[in-house]
Amino acid sequence: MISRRGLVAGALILVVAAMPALLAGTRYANYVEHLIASAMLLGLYAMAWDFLNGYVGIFSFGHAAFFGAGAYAAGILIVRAGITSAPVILLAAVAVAALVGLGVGFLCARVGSVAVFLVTFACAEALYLIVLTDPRGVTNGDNGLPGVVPAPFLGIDLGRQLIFYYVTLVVVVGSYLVLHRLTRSQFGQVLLGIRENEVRVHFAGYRVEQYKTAAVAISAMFAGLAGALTAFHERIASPENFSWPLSGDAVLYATLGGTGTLLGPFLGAAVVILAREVLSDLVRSWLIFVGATYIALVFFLPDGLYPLLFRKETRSRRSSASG
Amino acid sequence: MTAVLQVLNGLTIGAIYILLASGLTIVFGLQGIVNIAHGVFYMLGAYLAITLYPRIGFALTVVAVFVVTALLGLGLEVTGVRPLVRWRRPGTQVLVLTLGVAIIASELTKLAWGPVPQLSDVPAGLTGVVSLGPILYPKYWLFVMAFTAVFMTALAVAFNRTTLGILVQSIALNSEISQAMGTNAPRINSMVFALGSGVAGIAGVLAGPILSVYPTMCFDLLIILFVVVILGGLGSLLGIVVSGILIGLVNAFGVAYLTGTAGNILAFAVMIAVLVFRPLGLFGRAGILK
Repeated sequence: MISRRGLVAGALILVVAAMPALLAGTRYANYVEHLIASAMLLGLYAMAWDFLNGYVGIFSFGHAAFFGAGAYAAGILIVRAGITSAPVILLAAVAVAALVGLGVGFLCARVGSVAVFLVTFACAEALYLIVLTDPRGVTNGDNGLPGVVPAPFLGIDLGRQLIFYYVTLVVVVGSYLVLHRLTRSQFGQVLLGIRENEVRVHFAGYRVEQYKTAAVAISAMFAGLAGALTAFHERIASPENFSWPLSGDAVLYATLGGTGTLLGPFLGAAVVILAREVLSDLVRSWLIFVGATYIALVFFLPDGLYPLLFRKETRSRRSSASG
Repeated sequence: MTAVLQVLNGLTIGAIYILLASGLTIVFGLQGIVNIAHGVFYMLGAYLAITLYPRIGFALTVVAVFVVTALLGLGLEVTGVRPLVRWRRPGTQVLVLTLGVAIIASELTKLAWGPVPQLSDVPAGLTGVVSLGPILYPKYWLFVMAFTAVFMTALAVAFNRTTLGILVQSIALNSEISQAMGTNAPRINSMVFALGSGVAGIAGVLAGPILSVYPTMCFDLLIILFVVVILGGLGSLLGIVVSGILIGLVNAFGVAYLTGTAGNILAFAVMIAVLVFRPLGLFGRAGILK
């Protein structure tokens, strides 16, 4: 028995998988494939954010810290250290992001719910400034690290767009399955408990701080994975990977798509990226649309697009992070 | 001598941080929300000053900016924040809302005043330098410090000695019980929000001749402002005075002896170091920070 959610997710995967074949030979093929791959990666990044906000109640406004950590881990390994093996780079990127996540998570677990927002923001901004000023001559400041191209591995050349496209699809589906499985596990149930009532979980004998730190680190790993793959995709690790508008993007994609759903963020990322492509040519200021979307979402669509399409399977997220 | 100079610079920058953080931290103490659009009022104050000061003079500019930004703050509170609080939405939705407002305001500012950074003029009566023993220091910078000192003293007196101040404290301690005792909490929350926005506007006017004025300043300053507010302890007035001065000094010395951004990085380092040992900040209290 397959759930409706599973059916729709499967249909989506089929469409994405079939897209290159449908487009083959047309002059849009390259452009559309690049766009869909970007949407998948940003969706993965926003899903990592959603895992933290929707299932643990931690509202991060510094997810770019993890995305950037992954991107720069890949960039530094390839450009500075000359290590070009894709699996090694991806593993290292995930590990570096996890370390950053442990540090940020340690702070997050100690401060109050609204202060988490400020702390994550400050941490990401500090990393952004360090990368930008480049005190040790590693990150190449403003210009970032161009030339982030991994070597072929077992005949899989991530430098080729179509191959990258399908590898990304596999990684994204795999990441979703892992996170989905995690939220249904006992560990995930404790996290849900923390979202609903932290004090009660604490008195039930769980070490809330450790669970929260671990959750931030897990979320950071997936955001870092998205960052490293994006660096491959764009062939550059740039300071924008650490900047606060990227942190805001995670919030935008996930709240537009619907938080606490894991699938919603992909929906949000797809809609925003499509809208950006169409509208940014037509209007003078794309950002005004972003701002207006935030405001409209809060008032008219607090649960996002997801519940409009799917039967909502997770519980309300209303209780998270009230001040 | 340069060290003394940096101390003075740090105090001046700190004074602006303190003015700005006061509204942010009191609103947090009252309603448990963080207003990202707070920086917008600061930016608006700075830009209005550039436009108004040559026409109506400094004193009138300050008054006009206060009135305009306070009214805008009131509008935001009544139409945006209050409904969300009444619907018992999580505090994070206020963040998303005010982030949207801040992004739109920043873009509109870019369209209205252009993207190029500007500096506003030093008010006519406050140009020139004062000699403080062996060093010369700009009169205007001393004025900014004095203004903040007077303002914060007045705020402390108002907080502890007036009926309104006591009511504000009672709401911060326990909004529900305070309302059960007859306090009109929503109205007082709106007033305080409007006052905080007005003060942010004044801070913008004061900062105009010192820090540069540009359309994304409302975000750039916000980051360091958050550091001040967290470091001091969310909801604590004494906290922001201490941390405002501390971060101002860290910033001034970082800029003088290292590089421009090193000052900011140091400020983050100080904040993280303090949070490791005092998760609620220097003067944060568990009762207020929920």
